[in-house]
This record gives sequence, structure tokens and C-alpha cells, in this order.
Amino acid sequence: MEGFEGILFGFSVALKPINLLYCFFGVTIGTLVGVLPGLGPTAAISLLIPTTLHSTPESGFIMLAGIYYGAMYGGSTTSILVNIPGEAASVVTCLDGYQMAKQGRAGPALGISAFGSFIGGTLGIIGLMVAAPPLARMALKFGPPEYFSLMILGLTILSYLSAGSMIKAMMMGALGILLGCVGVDTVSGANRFSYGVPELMDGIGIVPIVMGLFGISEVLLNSEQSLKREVFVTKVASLLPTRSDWKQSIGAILRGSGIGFFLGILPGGGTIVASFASYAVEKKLSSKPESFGKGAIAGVAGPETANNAATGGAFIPLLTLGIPANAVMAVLLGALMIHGLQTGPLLMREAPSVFWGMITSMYTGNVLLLVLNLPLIPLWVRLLKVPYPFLFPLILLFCVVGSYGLNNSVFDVLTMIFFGLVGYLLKKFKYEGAPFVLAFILGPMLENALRQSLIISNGSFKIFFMRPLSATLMIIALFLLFSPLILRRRPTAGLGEKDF
Amino acid sequence: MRVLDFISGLAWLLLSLFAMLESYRLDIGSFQKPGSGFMPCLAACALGFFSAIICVQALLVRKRDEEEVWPNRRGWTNVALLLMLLTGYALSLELVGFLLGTFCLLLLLLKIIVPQSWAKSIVFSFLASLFSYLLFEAWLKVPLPPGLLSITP
Repeated sequence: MEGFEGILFGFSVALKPINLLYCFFGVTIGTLVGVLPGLGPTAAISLLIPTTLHSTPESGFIMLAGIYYGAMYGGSTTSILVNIPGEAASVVTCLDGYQMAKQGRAGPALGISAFGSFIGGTLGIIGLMVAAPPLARMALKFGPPEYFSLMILGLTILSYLSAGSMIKAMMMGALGILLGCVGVDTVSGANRFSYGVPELMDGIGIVPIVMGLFGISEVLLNSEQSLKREVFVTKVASLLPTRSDWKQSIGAILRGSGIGFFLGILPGGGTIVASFASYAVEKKLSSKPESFGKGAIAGVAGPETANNAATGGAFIPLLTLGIPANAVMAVLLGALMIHGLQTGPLLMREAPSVFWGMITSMYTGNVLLLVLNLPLIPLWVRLLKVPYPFLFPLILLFCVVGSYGLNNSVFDVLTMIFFGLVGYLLKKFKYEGAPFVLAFILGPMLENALRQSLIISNGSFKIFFMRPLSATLMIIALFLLFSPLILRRRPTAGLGEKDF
Repeated sequence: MRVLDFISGLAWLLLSLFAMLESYRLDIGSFQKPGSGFMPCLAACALGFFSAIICVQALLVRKRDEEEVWPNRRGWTNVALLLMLLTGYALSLELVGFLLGTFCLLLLLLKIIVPQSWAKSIVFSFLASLFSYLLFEAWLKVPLPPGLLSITP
């Protein structure tokens, strides 16, 4: 099943009343976690994985996917109204969105971000539909060297685009790979770094790590200061952007869709990099770059479009290659495995209702988000007015339940607390969490691909440069790695601290 | 010298040396037949190499750390208390149970970290723990430990 036939089949699945209901739940929860700072889609998805066991796989995954792209819509609300990004991918929206709100233009800022998100999200899904089937066919020809080179490229891109020192980012990547080795070695059966702790024999879970690094550490940082947060009090008047707003934004929206989609595909690219890259491009192309940071509507439209388009792109490596592009995709990969589904190129053939149902449900989800979100903005604003002293215990609580619920393990909660402290220290010492998490996710796959490649080549690393696709990917990675030395500068994407 | 970079670089360097030794114990194998310790050793070598660069860079730079990154005494106390409360909660979760444990955690957070009145703290902690229990356990079917409040025949 492919192409038009697949799309029609997908709609027949996505438009079932029960699946529409699951989609509605997903996008609503996604918007909610997007609005609430400190609680991201990874936490929400892992919290809700056990509930998918009571439904059909397609309904479950329609809901989980809805949480992911729903969070991108919700994240902009806090950026614009409170100057605090509810979601890491909306960090850059603060720059101009909050300034617009201060100038009394919160309505058009929220409106253009919703319309941009809708357009970007929809174009991203179209891209996903067009690109996924041929890529899945091509992926069948991928061997271990191609997989290895692709993952190395993903890690290099993330280090290259990181805000601070590239060396520190690569260190975090190495640390992530190292921690990804904890547990039983699937090839030899040897226990690695588990020191007799039974819980470590299965490896460290991604959910406690992500919740600790990005959720708990954020609460720890906030607890240093007085826990007060001001919501910008403004009347959110008309949400509809004016004709002039559209004129200034349409180019940014279209470019953001393209940038977001292509950066979303790359492992390590994802929504955060997409939003920063779009902002940088818009500022560069603008005839008034000085207006950026002072309330330029294109600075809201571009990044908000890009992060939604990237969600569509991010599904491509997971659905076609079985490689998660970010932590959310890694959790989804785990959920697919729990349901006994094989990810990668065979998913489309073996579970078409999940593959096509999930993809087409994103159309309906995007429409739901647009229809629901604009009228619901006042509700989200009220939610933000809940004083932070009452909000942060709830964020902690959700993180604890999220870590505990997946395996019913107190050890996972302790792991989360430990990584909360690690994340706090990493932020203090200016290390980034994103390369660590991606390397941790890709580590086991990277190891398998490397070992298999070396066995095939009888121990020669030349294999990565002898096969055309692998060689291309490796050359790009090496160029990115050494370009700061050659070009003497590096265009940092300025990733925030709480990536993923 | 950048003190923070030097300290962190040194810590990572020590960790990488430890990981290299452990990888060696696990059997590194050969390029033709990589063993269990091959990948950890490679990752540890990369970590060690980059940490050494960070340490050297930190020593060579004449500028000191630009800003004060550490919190004041009150901030430290809050961070330490939060970590202790969370750890205590996690360790007692299965014994005490979700409902009671969460109520105590929330109450302590609201009294110690962000001091609120007793009435507000008790009402919020009670409602939040009950609501979260109903949401996760009863509605979303996330299995939570019943602990002391479990009803046994």
C-alpha cells in the first residue's frame, strides 16, 4: 500500500470517531504540556504510554503523536505572554513574541503563530507522506555502514549547531554513548557497568534521563530564586493578523516550512534547531534586521512554523529507518516496541493502519488545533496565572509519576532525581543536554552498526568511505567537524539549555 | 584561567580514565572482532580527549569566569532541600503509598521551599494528591503504589 491508496486508507483510520477522540485528547494534552513550562512532550508521552495498552495501537499512536505536535502549538503561548518558553522549541519566539505583546499586539502574535503552526504542520505532513514511502524503500538497501554514518552525521550536526563550545557538545555526545552502553551487551551477553544492580542490567531508561535533565533541573534552577512569575497583563484583542501582518509573515511561513521539514528529518535536527535556524534566516533576509528582537512579526511566524513543520520531518527517520531523531521519537520507538511493532522500513508494510493512520491523523489534529486553540487562548492564559509556588510541585509530581509509571520502578525515580542534579550542574558549567540525550538514544544502534561494519570489512574503517552513500554522509560530517578550524567561525543555532 | 571549565574538564577526564579501565576489563577485542568493551573504550577515549582539550584551554585563557553562576546561601538550601525531599519521597513511595506520600511531599514543599500558610498548603496538597491519584490511577490506569492505604483482605 503506497501513495494515494495509503493516504485514503489512512483517512479511513484517522476519521473513525474513536480515533478522532484520541486525536483530540492528544492535541489537547499536548497544548497543555506545551503551555506549562518544565513539562515537555517527552514527559507527557511517557506518562500516557501505559494508557495506550488499553486501546488499539493506531488509536494509541494517534494520541501520542498529537501530544508531540500539540506541544509545539502550546509552547508559543507562554513565550508570547510570559516571556518564558513552555517548550524548548519556542525559546526563540520569546524574542519578538513578547515584545509584540508589550506593544499591545499579543493577539496578532498568537494568531500568526497559530496560523503559521497550522501551515507548517500541514506542509510537513505532506512532505512526510511524499518522502516516507520512497525513503522506506531506499532504507531497505541501507547496510550497517550507512546507518553508522547517518548517526554520526546527526550527532555532528547537533554539536555543530549547539550554542556554546563545540568541544563541550562533542564531550556530551561521547558521554551519552558511554552511558548508552550500560547494561547487558546484546552480542556477548556481558554485563557492562551494571555492578550487580539488577535495574541497570536493562540499561538506563531514556524517560528518567530526559525528565531529570530537562524537567527536574529546571525546577532546581528556579528554586534558587524567589519563585515568582509575572504574567504579562494585556488584553488579548483580535487574534486575526492584519493584511500587513500577513504580507510580512507569508514568506517567513513558507521558508520556515521548508527549513523545519528538512531539519526535522536529520537525527539531531529536530524542532529546536529548526526554530533557531528559521529565525536566523529571517533576520538575515529581512530588509530591517534591526527590528528583530523588537517585535518583528516575521520573527514569530518563521520559528513557530518551522518547529511544527519539523515534527512531520522528525517522524521520517523513525518510520523509515527506525532511527529516532530526538528524545520524543525515542520514547515513541519504545512505545511501538511495547506494542510489538517493528519500526523502520517494514512498519509501513506490516502495520499500515498505524503508519498511515498516524500520519493522516496529523491533518485532522492540525485542524483541531487551529479550531480549538484560538478560542482557548484565554483559558491557557488563566492557567499561566496559577502562581508558580503551586505550579512547580505539580510539575515535579508529573515527572515522578512519568518516571515511575513506565516500569513501576522506584529506581527510575531515583535515576530521574540523579539526572536532575546532573542537568543542574551541566547548566551551571555550561554544557548542553541535547547532544548527550541524542547520543544516549543512538548509542546502542551506533555500536551495533559499528561492530557489524567492522566485522564485514575485516576490521577496516575504510568501509565507511568505500560505499557512496556512507562516504557522502561521512564527508559532510567531517566537513562540519573541521569547518570551524577552516572557516574560523561557526553559525551557532543558539540552542537553549532545555533542549528536547 | 577559567576555573569552572578546568574543574569540569578534570572531572570528565577522571571519569573517562575510569571508563577506559573498566572497558579494558570487559574485553575490548580487536578491530576484526570488537568485544563488549570496544564501544565504551572508544567513547571513553573521545571523552578523555575532549576533556583534556577543555582543561588545556581553561588553563591557557587569561580571562576568569565571566559571571557568578552559583546561587546564594538561600538558593543552595532550596536546591539541597528539594533534592532531599524528592529522594525521601522516592525511597518511601512504595512503603507509604502514592496518596499519602504525595500529600506529605506537597505539604513539605509548600511549607519549606515556598512558605505558604498552613490552610493553603493543606488544602492544596490534599486536593492535588487526590486529583493526581484519580487522574493517573483511576482514569489513566497508571499503576501507582497503594502503600499504607492499600486494602488487603
